Parts: sequence; structure tokens; C-alpha cells
Amino acid sequence: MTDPADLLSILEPTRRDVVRLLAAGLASTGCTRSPPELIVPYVERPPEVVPGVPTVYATSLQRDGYGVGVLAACREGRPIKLEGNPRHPASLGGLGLREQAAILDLYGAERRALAATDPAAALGAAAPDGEGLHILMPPSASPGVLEALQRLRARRPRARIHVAPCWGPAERLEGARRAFGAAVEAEADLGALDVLLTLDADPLVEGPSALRDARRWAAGRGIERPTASLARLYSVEGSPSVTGRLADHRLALPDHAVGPFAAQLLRALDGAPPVGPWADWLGALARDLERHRGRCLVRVGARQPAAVHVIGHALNARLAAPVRYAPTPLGPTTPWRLEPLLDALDGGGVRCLVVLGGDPAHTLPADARWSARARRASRHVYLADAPDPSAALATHVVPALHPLERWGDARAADGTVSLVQPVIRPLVPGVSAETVLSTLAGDTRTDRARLAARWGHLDQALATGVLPDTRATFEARAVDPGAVEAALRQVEGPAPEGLHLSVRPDRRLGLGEGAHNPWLQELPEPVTQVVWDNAALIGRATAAEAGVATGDVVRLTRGARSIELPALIVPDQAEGQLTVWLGFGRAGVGVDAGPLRTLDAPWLTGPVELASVGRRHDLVTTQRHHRLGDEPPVLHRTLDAWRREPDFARHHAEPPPSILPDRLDGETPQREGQWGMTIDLDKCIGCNACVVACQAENDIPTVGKAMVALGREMHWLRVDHYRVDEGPEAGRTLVQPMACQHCEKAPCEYVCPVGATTHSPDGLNEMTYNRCVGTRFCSNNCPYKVRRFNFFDYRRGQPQTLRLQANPDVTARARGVMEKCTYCVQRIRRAQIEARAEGRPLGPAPVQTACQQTCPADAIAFGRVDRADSRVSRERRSPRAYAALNALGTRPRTMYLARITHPDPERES
Amino acid sequence: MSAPFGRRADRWLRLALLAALLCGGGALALLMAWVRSPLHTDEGKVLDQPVQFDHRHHVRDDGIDCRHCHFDAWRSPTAGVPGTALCMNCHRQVLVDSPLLAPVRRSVATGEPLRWRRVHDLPDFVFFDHRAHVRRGVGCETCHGRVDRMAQVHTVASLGMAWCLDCHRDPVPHLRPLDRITEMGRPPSRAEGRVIADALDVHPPTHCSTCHR
Repeated sequence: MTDPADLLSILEPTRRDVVRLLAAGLASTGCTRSPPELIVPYVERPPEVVPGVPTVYATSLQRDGYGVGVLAACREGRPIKLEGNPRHPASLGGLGLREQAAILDLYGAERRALAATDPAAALGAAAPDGEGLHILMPPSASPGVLEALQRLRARRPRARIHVAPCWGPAERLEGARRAFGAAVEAEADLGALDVLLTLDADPLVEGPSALRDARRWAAGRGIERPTASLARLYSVEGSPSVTGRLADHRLALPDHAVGPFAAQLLRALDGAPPVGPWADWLGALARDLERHRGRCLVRVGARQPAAVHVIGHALNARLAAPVRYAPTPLGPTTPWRLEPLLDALDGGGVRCLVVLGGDPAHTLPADARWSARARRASRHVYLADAPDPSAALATHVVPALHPLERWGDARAADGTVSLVQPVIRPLVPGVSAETVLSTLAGDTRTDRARLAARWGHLDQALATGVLPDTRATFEARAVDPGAVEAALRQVEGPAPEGLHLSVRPDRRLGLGEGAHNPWLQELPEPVTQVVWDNAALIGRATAAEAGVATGDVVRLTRGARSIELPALIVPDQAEGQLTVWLGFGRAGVGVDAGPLRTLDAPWLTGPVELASVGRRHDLVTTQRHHRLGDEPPVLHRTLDAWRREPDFARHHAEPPPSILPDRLDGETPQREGQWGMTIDLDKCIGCNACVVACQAENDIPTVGKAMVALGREMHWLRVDHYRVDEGPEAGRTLVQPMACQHCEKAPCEYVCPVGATTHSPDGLNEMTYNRCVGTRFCSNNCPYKVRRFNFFDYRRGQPQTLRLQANPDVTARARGVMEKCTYCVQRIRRAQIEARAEGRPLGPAPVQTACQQTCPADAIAFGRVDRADSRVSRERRSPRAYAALNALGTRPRTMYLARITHPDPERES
Repeated sequence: MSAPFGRRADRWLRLALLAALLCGGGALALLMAWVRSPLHTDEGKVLDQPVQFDHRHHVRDDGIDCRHCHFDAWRSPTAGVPGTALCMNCHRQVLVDSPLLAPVRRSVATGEPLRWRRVHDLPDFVFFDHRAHVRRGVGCETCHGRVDRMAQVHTVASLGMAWCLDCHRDPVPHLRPLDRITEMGRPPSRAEGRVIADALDVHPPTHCSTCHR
């Protein structure tokens, strides 16, 4: 990463700088020639590799310990892009933003700083019976890891295995254990619901099944079908979530009041009249749920206490929700506790401590005092992803392999087993967690050999990525009434008053796994659009009361501990609650909220004091960048309004008359197809996965916080947020992904003095970088503000390994040129050339753009608008279809489908 | 009173201005001529290679088809340079002790690839696809010249954009039957090309993103 401050110094040049720049400018006027290029062929080429053609391998990544099937595209032996595996039930072809960004972790410079250590030597000191051997690991659903744990237990029976509860869904599994007598996973089809209620939950982006759930949810939004009903979404949460933003009715309630709310809802369904400030809201909700008995579902967020999960299960049982259960594949066996390990460390009985990643020094609550306690182990082996604070505590640091470098297996929440296969020779001399555990168990086979022994013949499974017939059997289960009573007693009562702190893993960085990933750091946070920072999210009234404005540094104090971080006023935040994202405070970005967490309350940490410290902090959000004028160019209607006036979008879809020549006058040959895109805002959940996918595919640099503050972020695709000010939908936030619209009458093209941006006969707005001289006229004339200018060579000083990720099919852009979304023209041209080479016709949708392919909600369609049978043509004919800023007459090739909301007509708010 | 300056008082100034204009324009014209000349395009320039590979010998004397080594041209954007293991398929039997082949044998023995210097070097912002050309009737010779007569490979064209566009705008005289793509020394005819263009539906695009992506 280039230091942004370094780049900024050029804005205030000294006299010497001016001379230097003049000299550099003179030198760079074409007097240099490119260095001679070499051709270095394989000595003996692997049979599956064709230079210039991607080789795709099916493998898996971990999502909260569960498996997600991915397809890794490799060029000449280096993986460059990950896509979802359509055959994998937890992906269905989509990927979230963290899976998309995982490819950059592989090439990160941090992990290469780790020195090789022989794990066998490091672990050799463990006692034969395991006395004094303690293992701390994140939960895992990998059959290989769990089998190795079993072997380890058999071989060294006195070894102890620990999991930090806050590293996994401990409360969710504990709630299931209390309600059903077993730790189970729940499965429901979110596309077949009438009502969905989320209680501090974000099911469309969080949890092991979020990608599948988002796909199913979006599939249920096809309101063009005459018989389809549209699901209604209720959200009760303290801080706006991605799912909550889509809610038809949202109640902002501090996270610690969600439990009492759930309890009262259960009572209300049994006939008790609701009381309290939310009585009306809850009463209407209860009636709506009762009306849709058998077609509604309640989801409780993973951070809520186990008792709230029990109530959630009771609500689902009471409502006959279409939900089924199967034992969780996650291990080791619950309940997970950290205290025995901490006690053992205090007692001095830990002779060999093995930590399998997780960066406990950073991710454990402060009262675990990990940094002090871990030093008491005589030997401390740490399996490290990066030289993080935990590595500094260890006596032996063993580098960990990236999932793209190792063999293994993974299980999805539904039990499906997928394989992990290496797609590149390890870039660091590391090992896998499975190897570490197996070494301790005395098993010296390779991970590959164990995999073959476990699953037999692997060829077919390696080709598809998924082992057939491994899905668990899901069945109905009865809730234990005693557990429900106990849970009700536990959470009932008035919610405590005062200001409470709620911490949550960041949607991009998790608990800190993504902290070294510049793509994730620079990605606008999907709800607040903050980049390169975290903040204390605070409601308007609470902020006014405390005299705090956005950007003011505040001190949060809990007992003797405090942290200082900037405040961010969020409109939908519940009053009386502060929310802080975890994962920061590493790599010099943001502030760690760990000091305020405790082991018994790692998430809803309880009352805090708030005080302004009288300093300001530059909190950078992209919310006000690239504005499109005062009138939001996004359309939405309630279902009722839409039924009354189904063609409300028509005057936003019919192009106004134009004096400019028509590019598509019917005489243009349709030989190569006419390309277009539609984005269904009823499906789009605004998760930002598309932004990262675009960045990975098109080699888009990160620019650093200081540059983003100047509005110079390079993302070709952004997700705009609009808040509705008036009308029946006031207070609703709408999202609209925005990239180059490929206007048929593109304003940028007329103003380019050098013909660097032109129109192709197949309807693309082309950008030819080598012609661009950087006048930026095009960007000024673009009404959608989708063009990005390379003010600097942002890759200067970046580690060379990161270049290995670059897509060889797109041009490396020089400083001083304009760039923008190309509709992934490299994919289009490849598909055209392949189709012609093979002598077959181009189908209606022969190409998927990167954003479309990763979209978990399948909200983006791309294909030929000259073919009536393509999905994009069908969607363009929808009465919901509209063009953004249609009145300008640009005739964009990207069209949107208006959002249709479905508020309960019988309620007031 | 006579004028203080005669009619010819600024003659030298005028001449100097004219000369400056001519010099400036001339310099510009020279520069533009230079970038188009072989001095800049390296047309015909021979590069030092790690092995003195002689195409004359392999193509003309031995009659080896281009695609024996450059088979990727039919399925990939790149034509591909063969690995040394492929060389040794023959040279295990033929010229086994030739000192010219010492680097090849060393490469196979050590696993260290040869490092050839690229002769046909397009700018990195140009995406040329071999497969799209050889499968649509553009022969090897059209761009690479009479490789069968080259002791060492050199370019026979500027590889500039104008040169590309000449053919993309009028491909007919350059097309040959698909079964004669690799044939050398048989220039295609316009009449034949027209038949092939119709049969293969050859309409090369000329817009920017054809090559620049």
C-alpha cells in the first residue's frame, strides 16, 4: 500500500518539488522505451494449463467455520478470481464481500513476513498423554479437523481443547440445545414466506447460510408473477442492518431490549395484551403473524443471549413456521468455554499451549487478559495468518496456509461436504490446522492422504467441489416448554435504562481477519458508507443530549476501562444504544472495542458512559460523493400503490425525443449482440459484494483514506443510498448500485477531445486508456458520476506479490487516465471469440459480468437486449423498469426495476 | 520625411520566424516519421536468443507444421512457445550431442525454463487473440512473414495499429482456406478470399474494445 500522506505531499509542492516535477515531466515525454519482454515457457507444461485460458478449480473457503464452495479461476498457475460454486448449497453461485476479498489475503505481504517453523519440532514437547497440553481453536465444521481432534483425544487423553465462545455462534447453539436438547441448525426457505421477523438479526448477509438465504429471499420477490405474494419483513434491532434496511416495518430498539420484546411477542400470541412503549407496534405485528400462520418465520441474531434464541424457537413453533432442524456440523462439541484455559494458565499448569489462529490477543475480551496470561505457558505455539499481536506472545509461530494453498474439507450448515484443494503452491512455508492437530495425534500422513482415506475416490468430487449425498436430514423438532418458561423468566421485565454499548463484528473485517485487506478497508461499510475507520454509532436524540456531532471523538467508559473513538450519528440507530464494530485497532486503522468487552458479555456489554473529549477525527464516508442532483434517481412504490398504478414507471422508461443521431436505428447489424443490464432493486440487498467482485476482476486499486476523503476512490461500481424524506415511505433507505450506464447517447463521448471514449456497435461505451490524455471533460459531463480518474499511480510501492492477483485480460491503467465500468468487456470479447472459434451462435446471455456473478441475491441480469428471450430483455419490458435520470435522454443500457415494498395496510407506522 | 524603417527592415525577422516555424514543423514531422520507422518499431530487427533456433531448418527442411509446436494458437489468445520437453521429443534421437542444443538439454535436466526474448511484442494495452485469426482464415504468414526463410525470427511488419486496421477494414485479400493456414509462400488471392469471407462470415470489428480492454 502506498502511504496516502506520501501522495498528498504533491498537492503542496515546494520550489524544489516543482523543479523535480518539471524534470520528471520532461523525462516522461516519450523518451523511454519499454524494457524487452521475455517469453518463459514451461519446461514441461501441466496438461490442464493452456496459457491465456483460465483454469477453474472447485474448492472451498470458510465462512464462520462452515464451508462455502468457490470456483477459483487461475491463469498460468496463479489464482486471480473467486466465484461462487453454483453446486454448493451455501453459495448457489453467489459470494459475499469477504469471500470475494479472500484472494487478496493469499498474496498479502504480511503473511510473507512469517518465518518457516517446523511444526513437528515446535509441538514435540507435548507430553505423551497430553498432560499440560491445551489447544485453543476457532470452531470448525471441517470433518478433517474434527477427525484429527478425535484422534488427538484418543492418543493424548489428558489434552484439553478450548474454544472461545465469542469466536463462534455459541449463544445460537446454546439456545438450540436448551430448546431442542441438541445443538441444531435451522433451515427455512426464505423465498416461501409471507412474513419474516428479524430480531437483531441480519440473515441476508450474516451467518453460514446467508448467501443461500439471500438468493432464496430474492427469488421470492418476483412480483410480476400474478399469483405470487410478496413477503413482508419486520426488523427489530438497535443498529440498522443490511436486512433491516429492507424492512417494511422497522422498530429501533436497543439490542438488549430485543429479548424482552420477543418475550412479550410470545405472550401476545398467547393472548396477553401488549404493554409498554412498543405495545401498538407489537400488537399489529402479532396480528400479522397470526394471519400468516404457517408461512412466517422469526430469526434471532447470533449475538443475542441463548434465552432469546429459545424464545425465537418458541415463536417459530407457535407460528408453525416452515423450519426444519438438523444437528450442527460445527465442533468441537458445545458448550464452549474459555475459563478452564484461563484458570489453567493462572495455575501454571499449561506446558504446551497451541493456538490455531484467531488472534486471541486482539479478539478476546479485555478481562481475559490474554497478553498477560498467555506468557505463563511454558511453550506457546501459534498458527498465524499474519504477524499479529498474538504471534508476538508465542514462543513458536507457525505460518498458516491460506485455503487456496492446502488440502482439506469443509461442511456447510446443511451438512454438505465440499473439498478444499490447493490451486497454487504455498507462498509461505506454512501448514494447516488439520496438520497441526494430526501431528499432535501422531498421524504423519499428508492432508491429501487423509482426505482420500476419509472420502475414498476424489476425482469426481474434486471436479464438482461437492461430495454427493452428504446433506444432513432436516426434520421438525418440538420445543421444550420448560426451557421456554425458563427463558421467559430470564429475559422478561423492563429493559434497563441508560446508554448501552453493543459491539458487533464488522461486516467487512469480521473480528479482524480482514484488517490487513485493503479492499475490505476501503469498501464503504454497507450501511454507513464509512471507509478505513470504525466509529461509535449513535442515535440523533442521544447525540443531541450528549452534545456530540459526527466526527467528535468521544470517550466510552465502562468501569475502569475506556476507549476513545469518533462518533457517527446514524438516523436509524436506537436511542440509548451505542454500536461499535470490532475488527479495528489492527494495522493502524480504527479503534479496538475490546477493552470494553467482558467474557460474560462479549456483545451486549451493558451500560457505558459517554463523554466528548473535545477533539475531532476525520471520519470519511462516501455517502455524499458522486451526487446525482437533488432528485433521487431511484423509484419505489408500496405494493398497494403499485397495484393502483402499475405503469407508474413508464415515463421514466420511455426515452424523451432527441436531436442526436440514433445509434440503434435498426440498420446496425446485430452480429455481435447488443448488451444491456438490468438491476432489480426489489432483489438487491445492498451488501456491496458486487463492489469487491468488480475490484477483483478489473484490477482496481485502493487509494487510501486521505484520497477517499477527496472523493478519489476508484471503485467502478458503487452502491448509492437514498433516504426518503416525505410521503408514506418517509424514513426508508433505498439502495441503488451505480456503475457506467452505457448510455446509447452518452454525454461523455461528445466531449472527449481525443476520441478516447467511443461507442461500440454492440452498445458498449468504450474507454480506450491509451488514447486518454486526462482532460476529465467526460467525467464532468457524465450525469451519473461513474467515471474515475487515476490521479496518482496508486500501485507505487505496493508489494509485488499483489500484482499476481491482477487480471491479465484487463489493461493496467497508467496515472492520469480516466477509467470506468466496461460491462466486463474482457469477458464479452472472450465469449464472442470462443463462440465463433467453436462455430456456435451466441446465446441470449452468454456472459456474466463480475458483479452479476457474485450477487448473492441474483439481482443483476446481463445479456443481449436484441434477443427477446433473454432475461435482461424480459426485465426491460417489466412495468417496473426505469432508466435512472431518464429525462436527460441518455438512453442508458442499464435499467433498474423499481423497488416494491409491502407495508401492512392495517397499521399506522 | 522618410519612414524611420524601410520596407525591408524586418526582413530578417520574418525569415527567422519562417525558419523557426519550418524547423519546429520539421522536427515534429521527423519525430512522427521516426515512431513509424523500423528504427522505432524494430521491424526486421533480430534479437539475441538463448538458443539459435533455425525455423528454416525445421519448417522447410524437416517439413514440420507450425502447429506442431505452436498448437495453442488454435485454442488460446497466445500461440505459445513450446517447452523444452517438447524439443527433446525429437532431439533425444536427432542431434543428441549438438552444442547448439546444450541450453535445451540443460533446461530439461534442471527444470529451468529457457528465457526467450519476445520478437512480436505488442503494447500491453493491446489484446490480440491468435485463435480468432487462425480459425477465420488468417494465415501465419500474413503477420509473421516467411518464417520458413528466417534463420532467426524477426518481424516483417510494423505491428502498428494502422497495419492492424488495414486488414480489419478489408480482410478479403488476406484470407486463405482453413486447411492452409500454416502454409508458407502461397499468397492468397482476392477472389479466393471473397469466397472464404462469405463462408466463414468474416466481418472483423474495428471499434476500440476489439483490441483495447
